[in-house]
Amino acid sequence: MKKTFKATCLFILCLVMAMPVLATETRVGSMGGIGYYIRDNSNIFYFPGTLMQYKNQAVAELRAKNNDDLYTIGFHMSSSSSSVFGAYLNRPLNLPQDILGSVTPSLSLDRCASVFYGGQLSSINYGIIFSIAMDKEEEDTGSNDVKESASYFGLTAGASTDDADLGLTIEFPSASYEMGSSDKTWGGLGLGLNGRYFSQQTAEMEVVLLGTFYYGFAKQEQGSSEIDYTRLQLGLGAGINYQATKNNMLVLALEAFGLDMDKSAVEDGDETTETTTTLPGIYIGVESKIKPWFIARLGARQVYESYKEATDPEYGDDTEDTDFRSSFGVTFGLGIVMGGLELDALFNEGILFDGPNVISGQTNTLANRISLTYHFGRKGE
Amino acid sequence: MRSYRIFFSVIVCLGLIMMSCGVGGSDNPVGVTGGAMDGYGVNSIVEGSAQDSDASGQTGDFVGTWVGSMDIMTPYGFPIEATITLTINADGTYEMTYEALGASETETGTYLITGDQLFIDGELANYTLTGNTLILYLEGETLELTRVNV
Repeated sequence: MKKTFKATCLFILCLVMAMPVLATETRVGSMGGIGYYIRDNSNIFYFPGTLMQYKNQAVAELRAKNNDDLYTIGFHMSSSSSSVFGAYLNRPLNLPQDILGSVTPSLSLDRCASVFYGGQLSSINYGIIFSIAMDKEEEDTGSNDVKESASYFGLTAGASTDDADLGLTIEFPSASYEMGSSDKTWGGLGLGLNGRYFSQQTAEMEVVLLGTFYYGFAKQEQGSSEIDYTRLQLGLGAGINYQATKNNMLVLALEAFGLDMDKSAVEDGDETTETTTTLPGIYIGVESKIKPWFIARLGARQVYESYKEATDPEYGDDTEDTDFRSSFGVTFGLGIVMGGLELDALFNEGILFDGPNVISGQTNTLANRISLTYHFGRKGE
Repeated sequence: MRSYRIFFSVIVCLGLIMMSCGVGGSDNPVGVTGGAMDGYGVNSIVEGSAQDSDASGQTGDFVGTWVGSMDIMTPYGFPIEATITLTINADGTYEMTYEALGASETETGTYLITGDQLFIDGELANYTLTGNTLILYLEGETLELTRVNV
């Protein structure tokens, strides 16, 4: 009995030692988009209580080739054994850019800066992330001054234990446009809640239960015209993390139900509702450590959904249009570990079809997306 | 060894299940809790990139290039037919080009759609949108446009 217990503990320790350093958006993206279902450093923005697991590292997310606007840089510093702090610059924001663009066409509110702090209270880790974005432009056109401004404030807080994570987000986006005596404004509030629970079934297998929720509303005003926007998102899923061997991991996730609803309602006017329902979504990720310094990843996703657009015009009959659709995608990823530095790449499989430039004459990039993580203080750097 | 067998059997089975289910279009290949390139889902707070999010709301229905024609009055007091090309962008901007008698003029600006009205840089027009046909009602004039490009 003692021997079995020791062997189990040793095996679990080996698994923990083998994989936890591997992390980033590119990693979970190249595994079919299973970020919610495994432990990864990119979890921190949904579950800030996990911040304590990712101390002393610098992270660079390079989301598109040669496009600085889509790069994010962050660092995590440990001030003591029970706290961590840091910041991220140029993080993407998920705001309705089409609506924002119609209010403040000269501005963009699609990137923010974040600072965070994580700590420990007894056996519970907690974390808090504050995000801010601002943009402003004033133009004197002679007859009329044009003033545009946009801002975003977001606060995410979370708590985590060994087997559960909870995260709560509240955000306040706003935008305004003034030209002479006329103006238009847009602004509102968003609330997000994410939770997941890990249940260790065997030494190799862990079950994950996940729930996500988001509700946001905003009002747009121009003169006497008003439009109310509402967004509701709900996701329920379950996953399995199966550590086949020390160096091979399989993640299976099933999104049993997903709802993404956008509604716009003009005061005393038309109402439009777009609803996308996922029934279901299947995500698969495989991570294999081929050599101590070389990791290969494979991901697949199959999403079945219905999309419904319903309109309730001020005059005339209501309309409703529903489409059922499915989609399939495969992703490949590579990881290279050099001392404290990890490079994760979303591999462009097109290069395998065309061959290198000397053969095909085609200019194929090797990677579509790259993440870099540097760990301070790791042995071997 | 047994673990390897289970591991690869599961992968092969899942692959076969997914292939047998068939695949459809790729309008939105992302779920709410997964499938996005940033590793999460369409509700991602981390990233709402263009490829992951729907062009939602009314604006998305208008985005594209529209072409039509209407009579415009010359400074000499007689009308001529002009070809109008209107490009509506998702970022709230538009570009409108008038072409007549070999000459052209382009204006750019911002627009806002509220209900059944379209504001283009202070100008207000009622509209009807049916598929790829957009009709603007401008101070007694009617401009019918056909979408030629999304």
